[in-house]
Amino acid sequence: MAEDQGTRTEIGPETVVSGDVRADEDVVVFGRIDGTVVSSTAVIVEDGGCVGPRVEAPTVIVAGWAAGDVVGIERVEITETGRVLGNIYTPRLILLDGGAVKGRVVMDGSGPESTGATAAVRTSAAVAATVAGARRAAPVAPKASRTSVSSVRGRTPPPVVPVVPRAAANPGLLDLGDESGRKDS
Amino acid sequence: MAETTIGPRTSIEGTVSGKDILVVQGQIRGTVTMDAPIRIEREGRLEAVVQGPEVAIGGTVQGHVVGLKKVEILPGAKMIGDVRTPRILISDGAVFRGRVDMDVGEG
Repeated sequence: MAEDQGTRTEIGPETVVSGDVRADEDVVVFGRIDGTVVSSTAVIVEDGGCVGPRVEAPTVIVAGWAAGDVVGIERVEITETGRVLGNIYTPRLILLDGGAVKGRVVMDGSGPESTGATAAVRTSAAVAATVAGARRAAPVAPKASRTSVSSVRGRTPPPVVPVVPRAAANPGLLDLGDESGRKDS
Repeated sequence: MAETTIGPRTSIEGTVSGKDILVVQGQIRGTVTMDAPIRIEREGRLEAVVQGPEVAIGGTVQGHVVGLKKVEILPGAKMIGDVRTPRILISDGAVFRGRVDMDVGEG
């Protein structure tokens, strides 16, 4: 993992990246990435942000939309506003009340066609994964984050980029957009 | 106006577009089209077609740059390729190899 130099990549709310993003620093997404995002530290999809079809990092935090495979080599956290439409591969999963998932959750160490990065870390990460560990895990936003997930929650979603992932074009699957039935946590 | 930052340890292959200010400290290969100013910082490296209202180059750019209003090539910058813009500033200490076309929309 790269030493923390306080640097990061931030995709603004009105920015769209089509293609692949590779980073040795945190990637914070307020806007949209259509493609693969791989970070050696963390990927944080903020409320209003949208990524897919693949996200991979030691820590993946989803407060917005993720469509496709979400690979958290160490852990995946889905916040109250997070939506995942696809499969989650991680040894530790934190899913907060209000968060929504449509897809498989795989916590036994098997993954999607694994990349070198996942394969290398998977064994040790899987061993470390215990229920207790999952409870302990504070919902940390990496310290490099200037705007943490929680601080963003209050703000109005940006009038972006249509935040509808390609996979979401299938409305019959799961109505993730309906907020009315949700309890406040 | 919000900002998009491509950090120094990030590389993107593909297209970056939108209405945010773009600051590039890392690498982009592909196409960059923004409706807001683009700033390529010293450690930034682009192999791309770049278009924005204002483009400030402080790093390395190989490709085409279109500045709808202005292009600035700052000290320490290395620009290889063509620039199309109605206004261009080239600072002392900048390296530039390519053509300049300043005929944008002025008959």
